Amino acid sequence: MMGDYVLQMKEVSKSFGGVHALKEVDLNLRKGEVLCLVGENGAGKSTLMKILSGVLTPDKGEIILKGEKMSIRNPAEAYRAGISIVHQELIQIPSMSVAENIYLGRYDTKGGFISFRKLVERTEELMEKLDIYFDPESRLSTYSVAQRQLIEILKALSYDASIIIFDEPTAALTTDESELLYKIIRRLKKEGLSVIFISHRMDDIFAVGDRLLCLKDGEVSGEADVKEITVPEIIRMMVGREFSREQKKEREQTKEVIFSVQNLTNKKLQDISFDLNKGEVLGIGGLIDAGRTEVLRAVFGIDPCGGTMFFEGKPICNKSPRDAIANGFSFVPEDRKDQGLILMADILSNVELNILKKVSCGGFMIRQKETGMVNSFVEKLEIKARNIFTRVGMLSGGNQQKVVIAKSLSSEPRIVLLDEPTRGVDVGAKAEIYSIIETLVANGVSVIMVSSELPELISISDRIMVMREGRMTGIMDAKEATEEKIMEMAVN
Amino acid sequence: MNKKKESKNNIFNAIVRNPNSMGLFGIICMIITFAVVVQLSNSVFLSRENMFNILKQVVTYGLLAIAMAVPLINGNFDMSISASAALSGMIAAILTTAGFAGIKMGFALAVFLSVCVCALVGLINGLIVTYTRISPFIVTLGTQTAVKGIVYIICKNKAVGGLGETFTFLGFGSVAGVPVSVLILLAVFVIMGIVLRKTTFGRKIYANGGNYTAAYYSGIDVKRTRVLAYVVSGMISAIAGILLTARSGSAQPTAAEGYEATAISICAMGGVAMHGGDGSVTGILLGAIMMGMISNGMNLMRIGSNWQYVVRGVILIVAVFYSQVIGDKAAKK
Amino acid sequence: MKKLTATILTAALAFGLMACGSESAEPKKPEAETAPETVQEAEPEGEEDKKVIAVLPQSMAQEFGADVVSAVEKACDSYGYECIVLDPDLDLSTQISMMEDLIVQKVDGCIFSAIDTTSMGAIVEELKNAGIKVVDFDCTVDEGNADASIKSDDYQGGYLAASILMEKVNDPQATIIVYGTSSTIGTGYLRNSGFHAYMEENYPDVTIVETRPSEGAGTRDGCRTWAVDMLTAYPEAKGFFTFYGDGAIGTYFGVKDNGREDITIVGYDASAEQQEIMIADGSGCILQASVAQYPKMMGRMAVETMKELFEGTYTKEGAEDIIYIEPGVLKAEEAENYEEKE
Repeated sequence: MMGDYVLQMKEVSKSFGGVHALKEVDLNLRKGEVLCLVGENGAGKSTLMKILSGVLTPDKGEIILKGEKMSIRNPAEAYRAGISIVHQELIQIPSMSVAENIYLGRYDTKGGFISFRKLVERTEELMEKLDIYFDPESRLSTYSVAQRQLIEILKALSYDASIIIFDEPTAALTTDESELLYKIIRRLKKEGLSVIFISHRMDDIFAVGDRLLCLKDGEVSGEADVKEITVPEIIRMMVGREFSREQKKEREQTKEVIFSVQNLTNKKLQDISFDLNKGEVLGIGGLIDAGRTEVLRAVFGIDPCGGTMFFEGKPICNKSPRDAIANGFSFVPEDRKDQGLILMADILSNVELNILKKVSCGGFMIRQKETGMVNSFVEKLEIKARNIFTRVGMLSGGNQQKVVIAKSLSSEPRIVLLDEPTRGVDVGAKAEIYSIIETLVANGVSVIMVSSELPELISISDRIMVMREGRMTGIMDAKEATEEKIMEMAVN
Repeated sequence: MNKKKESKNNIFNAIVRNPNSMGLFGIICMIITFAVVVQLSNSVFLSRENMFNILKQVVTYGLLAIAMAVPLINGNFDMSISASAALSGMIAAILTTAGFAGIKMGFALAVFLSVCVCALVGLINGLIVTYTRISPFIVTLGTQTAVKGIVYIICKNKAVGGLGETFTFLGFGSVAGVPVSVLILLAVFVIMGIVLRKTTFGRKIYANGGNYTAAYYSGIDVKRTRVLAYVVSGMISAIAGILLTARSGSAQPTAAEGYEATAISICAMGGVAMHGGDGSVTGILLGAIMMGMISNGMNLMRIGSNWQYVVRGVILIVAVFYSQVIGDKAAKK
Repeated sequence: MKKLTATILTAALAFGLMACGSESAEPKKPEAETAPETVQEAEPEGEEDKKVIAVLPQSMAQEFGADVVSAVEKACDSYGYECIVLDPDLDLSTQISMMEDLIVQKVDGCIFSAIDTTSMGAIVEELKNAGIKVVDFDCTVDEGNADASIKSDDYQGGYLAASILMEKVNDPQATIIVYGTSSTIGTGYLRNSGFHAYMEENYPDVTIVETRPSEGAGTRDGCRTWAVDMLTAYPEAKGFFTFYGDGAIGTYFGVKDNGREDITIVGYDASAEQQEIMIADGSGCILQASVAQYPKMMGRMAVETMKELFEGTYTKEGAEDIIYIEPGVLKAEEAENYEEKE
């Protein structure tokens, strides 16, 4: 059946500095077929597609295109080989026209001058093929995200591709827009193109998929015909792993509601309501665009929101991070380098940011108070650095994260909001962070934690709230949670 | 033997590893080198008289550099400092001579008023920058032009001379052998040094410039700090303007024109990062001295004005390059 | 060790650059304004027999200043003096700083045109106290305390300009546009005063509009825009008077572009460029006349006076004792025969 395969990737492997992103992955794609590539966050789907589209080169493995071995060393070679990709983050120039964007870098020239007439002609021909129409000379910025995505598809087609890769295309689309996308994909199939469709949404898979390939932790965890598989089976392929539920320390649980949120709503959230007990860890699970970080940001006062919040029974409103910190909250953001730390400053300057008032008197900083406070945190959190005057930019990921945590704890918060606290952190530091959380909880501090790592979420949380597309899909006790259950709520 | 080497290494390393001091090392090197070269060519360069000359000439530039540095470390440009300087000099001059709308006043009050007016200009800058999305560079260019116009209006296009004794003292007098203007320069530097390094306000300035988002998420009142930074720069520009007037013997409507470019150069040479978050008062002082030495030194070496511009430009690039490269190298280890 | 290497490299490179900088400044000097001979390393001053004279025009960008300076250089050359040219570019405090540096450099003489005539008496005193001979020209210090002062008679020049202008315009009811002064330039004020005086005496009904541009004052381009704007505001105007050279040329181009051949312009400085314009356009040229200050003569006389000061044969008799150069006129009808006095 080799003749039917338009693409075969064999034993493709890739590591980044000791971390295996892909381990001997095989992928087979038949002509005229839609292959759905699924897996949870970080399973290796994007890495695999980056290799196919020439952005990365594999450490090991081969790519066979229409029976011939190929090496794809850069995106230009991928395009020439007939592989086109529609990225998740649209790479477009809003100030240029539709036609200019589609044919970026490939304009017809006449003696050095761009022939715009030809450009428009080519664009119109292309649009006829797909039966979509946009005014080729209109500016890209006038279109919505969904429309721009269609334009991006046109661009991918303009390369005379035989294989088109879609990376999470429906993430930003409404149901109707997704329907339109499905129609287009079916049309592409008819024209003889093959499609690789990365998505974690069941709707997508069952609407256009022919076959399914599932990655987990960088390896293939399952392959199937879409017609013959069920949703629970897909989920198990995505997350089923050897899960040793660690003996969690029995925490003293007082059922005392300390913080309560009702009908939290804004552009990205809909009617979020939950209670938080004293000394409890509430985990928030869900897929990437589910709105988890947005909940934290709304609670912390970064994003404006409607709804009400109660702290110890009294209504409060956090209008800004400053407010929130004064009210006893603190926040460890997802992206520590861009949002949590001042990389060019030292540990001391970073940690004291939340509490400048406390380490100063009448506006003047008091060295002793500063160093005293920071040193005690360095000790407690075991931050490994030469001294507190080391520039934070030079620390390892784990230590950097601890600095951010130290900063958030310095204001002696009652509620700590953690967003992916162990992302990019080595195993040793991870364990240390977990024990920090335990200590906090033992002292009556409540924690709301967002995490994409399901095992971590289950073992650290007392209760887990799952979100999907800005809504809560369920809350469960951690004791009863399994990865499958969470994933189910996250995708359904 | 090993132990000795080790301890020597440690002191050396202590200085060399601290990225702050290493950044300054570059410019110190340049100053020393430059001084040596000029001294060989003209032995008068390092004389006390000449050194004081340099310092006197550097007063206005140095003060304007500090004025520029405060919002710069905070992450924004203030291009209106030279116009504010001209404004304050003019206001003080008019108020103490012919009077304004019939109001005449003593030196101290006139100075106070000038500083207040320039603080107001700074406030306007700060508010527009903070509460609109217009680029600070553009906003302050706008205020610069407007303020220039105001200067011309209030002086009716004529320079104001005949300044009183206090002005003359400021410009030409000395206390214990040190020129008064230099003393004021040093005083402002010391005060600003303390403010930047040792007060909460200073911390906030660095934090905002280093990472605005992180500062905001840490509960710093970023907006208020931004506005205050501009007010401070306005006030320091005012002091610069008054000293400039004193030194020139008259308040010129064209005073300090183009000085903001020199102020930025001094900041760059002194290790103030153009994108904010880094910089020290010592560095700025060294940068100002370097600037003064260049003009003075080249004058002594009989190099004509045209070539002086060329050399100034080249030295600026080289000095910034060294301060960045060395600072980076130290940081990497 | 890496840092040590880096440090040494820095010092070496910086040193090299400085050495380069001073060396390369020298061979280029013949092109620039200063004489190259004496500035080698390790030659301290004082052993030189050559007298050193520094010249500071208001700005080398002004043709007048450049002309004076070139004449000064020529004269210095012929007397065997060394000449240094410094350009304060219209910034008062820069000019003061440069003069302070001269004291330290121990030059022998300083020739300069004051950017602010009202306040520079003090710095002149300082130079004199340091034993430097001071000659001011064109914009002379009001205090009159320089060792010698040379200027062209500005008042008379303005007076003369008015008379020529009205000769051509010949309309007692005319509107005339005059380029205004900022009093930092004293000569402008004097010239305009002379102009006004003539008008008051002879043509009292003439309307004089005196303004200055807000942008680009003192530059040729700024003046051009100003002239065009003024014509638009006063289409009935018959004549222009600008008291400085670049202003005359700027006005000329501005008016010509607007096709107003009926306008008469009287300018100042009578530069070679203005002469060329007049020759090219012939006697009907809208730039009808230009008052000549003879900057080259001024420059030469400045150096000669300096020589006399060195030899002790000249003493100024008081603040009012100014060496006046009588202004001449470059007229369009005689442009070909005009000769500049040197």
